[in-house]
Amino acid sequence: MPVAEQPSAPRASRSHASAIWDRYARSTMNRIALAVVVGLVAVAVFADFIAADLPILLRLDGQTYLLPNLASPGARPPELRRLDPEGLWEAMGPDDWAIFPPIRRGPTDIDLLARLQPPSSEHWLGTDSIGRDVLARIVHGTRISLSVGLVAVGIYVLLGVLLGALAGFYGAWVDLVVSRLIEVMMVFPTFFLILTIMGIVERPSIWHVMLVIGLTGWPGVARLIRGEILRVRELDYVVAVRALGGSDRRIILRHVIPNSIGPVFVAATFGLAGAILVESALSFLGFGTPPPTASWGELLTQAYEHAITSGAWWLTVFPGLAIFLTVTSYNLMGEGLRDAMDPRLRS
Amino acid sequence: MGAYLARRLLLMIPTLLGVTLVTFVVIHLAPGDPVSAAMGGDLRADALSSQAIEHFRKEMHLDDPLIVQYGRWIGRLATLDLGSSWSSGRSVSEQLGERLPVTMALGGASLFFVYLIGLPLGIASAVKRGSLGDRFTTLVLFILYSLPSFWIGTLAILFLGGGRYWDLIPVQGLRSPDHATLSSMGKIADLMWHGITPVVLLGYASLASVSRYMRTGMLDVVRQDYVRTARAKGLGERAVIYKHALRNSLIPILSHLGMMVPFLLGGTVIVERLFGIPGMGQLMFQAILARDYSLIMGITTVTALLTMLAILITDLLYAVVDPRISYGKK
Repeated sequence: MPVAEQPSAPRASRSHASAIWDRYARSTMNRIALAVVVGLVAVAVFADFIAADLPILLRLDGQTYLLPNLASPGARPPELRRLDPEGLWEAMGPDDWAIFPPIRRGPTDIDLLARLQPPSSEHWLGTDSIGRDVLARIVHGTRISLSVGLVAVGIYVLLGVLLGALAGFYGAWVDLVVSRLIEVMMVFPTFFLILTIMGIVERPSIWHVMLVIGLTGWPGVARLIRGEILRVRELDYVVAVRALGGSDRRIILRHVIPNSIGPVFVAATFGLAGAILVESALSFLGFGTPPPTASWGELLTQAYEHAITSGAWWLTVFPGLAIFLTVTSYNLMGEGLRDAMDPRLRS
Repeated sequence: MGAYLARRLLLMIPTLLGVTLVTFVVIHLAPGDPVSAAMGGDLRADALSSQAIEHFRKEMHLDDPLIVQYGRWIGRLATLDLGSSWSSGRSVSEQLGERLPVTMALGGASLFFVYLIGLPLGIASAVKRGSLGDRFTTLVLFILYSLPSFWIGTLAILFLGGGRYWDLIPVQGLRSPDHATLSSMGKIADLMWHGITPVVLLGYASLASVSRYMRTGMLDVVRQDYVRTARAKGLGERAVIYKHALRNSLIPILSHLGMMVPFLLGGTVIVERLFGIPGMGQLMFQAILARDYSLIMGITTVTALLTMLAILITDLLYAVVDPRISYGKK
């Protein structure tokens, strides 16, 4: 954009991005959605400072330790190696002190004496069927859900943009192959495919969940980019770049993709919501993030298993609310972004 | 028309081959031993003589090159033989024959529910565009769209299913314990009563997209000249919308119908598991747990086929709603 950056040119037009932001921020709903997402990201990043059984800051025998709760027992200083919640109290003298996170339970701390407890001052959101704190598990589950969404969507946006750009730009047999592939994937009951892969992998991990959602989600993005590129390909400015001697690679990477990426951002935002739903559905069916890692869907599985017998409503209501809040915020952001990117689409 | 149909049916073959090939490669390349799963979970060589494993592998041709195994599977498919299930020993087509009708009824009823509610809402939203009702509908449908069905299902079972709280809905299976003693009308009523919650659960998330497609389609149409002409010659609003505008505004909805099928079929896994409905989704769930390769292949093939048929039918329906589209002459 050399023209826009000429110092003498009046700065009448703001950048495209800030114009989009202005249109996005006009709606209160959009701002709330963004704030919720930022909050969730913060919870995910700082989960260990919000819910853990060990202190954030510890003064023991005249020494100060920062964040012993982050280190695995092997990585702790030798004198803290055998630190556990009960042992800590015994080890602490009169001059020692500790600052604990607001929720003094880790997501995997089992307390068999406090199974299926309703919410109380001890456990704000109750406990699950083996006495783990529901709030601690929800807090740490945020990490799983958000990272699955981010990585999975990252994978499929990359794949989709790459394949779609190749198909749209080169046409001919490349397009034929990619379009056939898209068609095959569209006909697939994707959820069956994801389930099958997760069910057959020997030791499923969170990385498998990300990879599988990523590898099955690309056709939508590819179709979008392909269409955009078919539209943009013959525009004058592309012809101009070619006339100036720009290579195919330069045309695609520097000009065509940046000009057709808008809808992809919107699709990716909706995709985050979709991926989080798929992850929790997988965990709910028992094919997702393996135990004992905390995941929202897994809490709902327990809720389902104990629904009739114990009436444990806190196991159902709270994890579900977490999923709903996240999914709605991403979806709202997607809507807002779509309207902000292309006001003409507003109907 | 006949020629078009034949060509479309022929074009399904490569796509179907693609689907089966992807599934085949996925289940055979993924690490994990089907034999131990098929023989009942964690049985390893010490519990199970290696001779038996050897025998099983041979019988199932598991040691042949993949391409040979795939070729054999396709060869059998050509004669409509989907093989037999490892876990139960029964033929895959027989099991599908039992389960498919249940799932089709569930999915069909859900489709009906979605269009019954979604289309009028979309039309109303378009006609009263920007009104309080329009905005309220959009918001409610948006919220429904973001509610995971396994959550709402669990909530329904917990609070309405006869545990500690209310006892309003049946939550297990499709029949009451006294089903056999009911009259034939009573049997139908019993089935419908058990079906309502699963049908609504499977469908409600799609209400948003259906009504949005309908709304957009309607808004495009009511701006056109012929609608103004209809109004100008003095037709009532009802006649303008339902007789003139509706037909043309249905076209975008049709393309949506084709996409609904794989979505609904995927959703049946969850809904059928929640409510213990013996349909194809539950069969798929069990097949995956048991690593039952032929069952997985069979179910995937049938679902893909159903999706392609749905897309074909919508394409044919285009010609019905839009006389400008014709597949006959070309």
